[in-house]
Amino acid sequence: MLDYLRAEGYKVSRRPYLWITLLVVAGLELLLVLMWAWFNGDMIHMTVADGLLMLLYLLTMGYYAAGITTDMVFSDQYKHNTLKNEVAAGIPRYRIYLGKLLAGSGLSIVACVVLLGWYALLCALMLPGSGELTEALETVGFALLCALPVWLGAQSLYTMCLFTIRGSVAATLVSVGIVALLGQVFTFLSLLLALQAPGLADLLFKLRDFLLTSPLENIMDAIGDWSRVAWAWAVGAGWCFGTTVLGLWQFGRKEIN
Amino acid sequence: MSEAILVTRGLTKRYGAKPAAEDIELRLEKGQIYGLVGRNGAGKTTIIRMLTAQTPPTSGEIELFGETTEKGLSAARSRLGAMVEIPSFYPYLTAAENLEYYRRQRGIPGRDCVDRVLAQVGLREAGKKKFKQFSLGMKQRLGLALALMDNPDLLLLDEPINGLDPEGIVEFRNLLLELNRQRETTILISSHILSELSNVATHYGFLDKGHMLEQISAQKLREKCRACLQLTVDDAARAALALEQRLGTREYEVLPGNVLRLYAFLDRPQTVTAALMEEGVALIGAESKNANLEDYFLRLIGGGGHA
Repeated sequence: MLDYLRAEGYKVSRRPYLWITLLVVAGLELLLVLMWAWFNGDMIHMTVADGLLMLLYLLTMGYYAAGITTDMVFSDQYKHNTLKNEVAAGIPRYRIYLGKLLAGSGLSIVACVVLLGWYALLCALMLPGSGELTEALETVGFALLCALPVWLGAQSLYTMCLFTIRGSVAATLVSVGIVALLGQVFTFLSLLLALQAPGLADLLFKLRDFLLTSPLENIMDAIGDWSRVAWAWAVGAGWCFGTTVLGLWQFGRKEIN
Repeated sequence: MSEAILVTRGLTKRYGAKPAAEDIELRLEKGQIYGLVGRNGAGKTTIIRMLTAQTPPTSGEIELFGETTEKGLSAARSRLGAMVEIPSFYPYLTAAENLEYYRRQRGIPGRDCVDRVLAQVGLREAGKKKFKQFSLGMKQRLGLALALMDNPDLLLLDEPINGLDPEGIVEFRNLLLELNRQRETTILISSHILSELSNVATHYGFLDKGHMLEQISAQKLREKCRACLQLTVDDAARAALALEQRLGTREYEVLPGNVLRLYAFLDRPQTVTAALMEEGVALIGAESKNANLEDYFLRLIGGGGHA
């Protein structure tokens, strides 16, 4: 498995896709912090702590960023027809699947650390300091503790869809649909069925709690609530396990054309 | 009996009710070059895809280097090099980067093996070129380079000379023969270009509509394809007697339907005709035959098709 991960790291590091994405996001971060620094005055007063707390509004981006890193590692295997080279060499399919999942997750974590570190550095250099910095760091840290497992759950979902659905665009759309729309679908259905089948409506509404997006809803009101962290990890682990088992089973019997 | 490298027993692949390969019994021994011959859709690629785990067989068994279990086969496949259909690589990586990626993935020690195989297939100069800029012939060469990277004991090559120029075909043939001679690499090769296959193969398997029609050694095939005079007579036994007693030759074979193949006196058919007449044998037909691999294959499948 280590060889497999090393190879994936080698491949991804040679893709312009990775460096361009990192540059674009880092550039957008720079632009945002520059804008705050420029307009800082009587009307706007952004401190380092405020800058860091803005991250709480950007946590949902992690769900979609996971799609980009999964795509970088998966590298259009079905379009380029490259999976046959791996399977024919006797690499077990479970290793191929888990290798790509782990490589994608590792890449996500590294990219997250780099981009958050860059953002924190920009805030520290360009925005005025404040005594609430420690509190802001604790808040952001807590929110990230909740976000990490559900982001990784989303990563597993993207991986499953990319292995199962032949087109990368279709696979990404399905994954994004599940992440972004499933909660709203459940809410809509539960409202629709509230009068005719209240039991079913209640169940559908409760199912929302197990969706990837739920643990991050109103996260600012839950800072310091450790049951939220436990819930986020349970939901993230559940999605990781469920989608990986399903993906492995499906990929294990797939024809490599 | 020599060491069996690859054995299949009743290997079958069906898509719905339609068989793509039916009850295939293969046996490749160490050092053989096995030519798989068949038309488009005959089942050649399906067999190779089953052997390389790209598609699971519907039924039957594969034995590779003595291994038959799924785990054992996975390990055994690390000893084979395969090139199935058009070689596929990452278009945004160079040839050398693509090979380096697979070298790391397979845990092959030593980066120099990438340069070695690139030189072996004549791509030393093109190593820094991106795969998306490659011609079909260059892609074929790179596919072969990947197959050769870990010094495989068994090579599975599906239509490997498609897209190669004449010089490339000769180089490819020499490379295969060299690998076979120096390392005793066993090779299974499918090709449409039968004349080329006949330059390397030691054994043949003829496929049609998913069925193995015949497996034969190159030596046996050469004997069958020898130039001959094919005689159709009213009494094959008496004709044979005439050939032996009057012409003093035993270089003939008797086929069903009172047909004889005579491998001597090819330049003197009138002497043969006279000998038969003296013995009282009625000659119904006489035909001069000189078959090659293509003729043999076409005759086997009933003619008309293209290999």
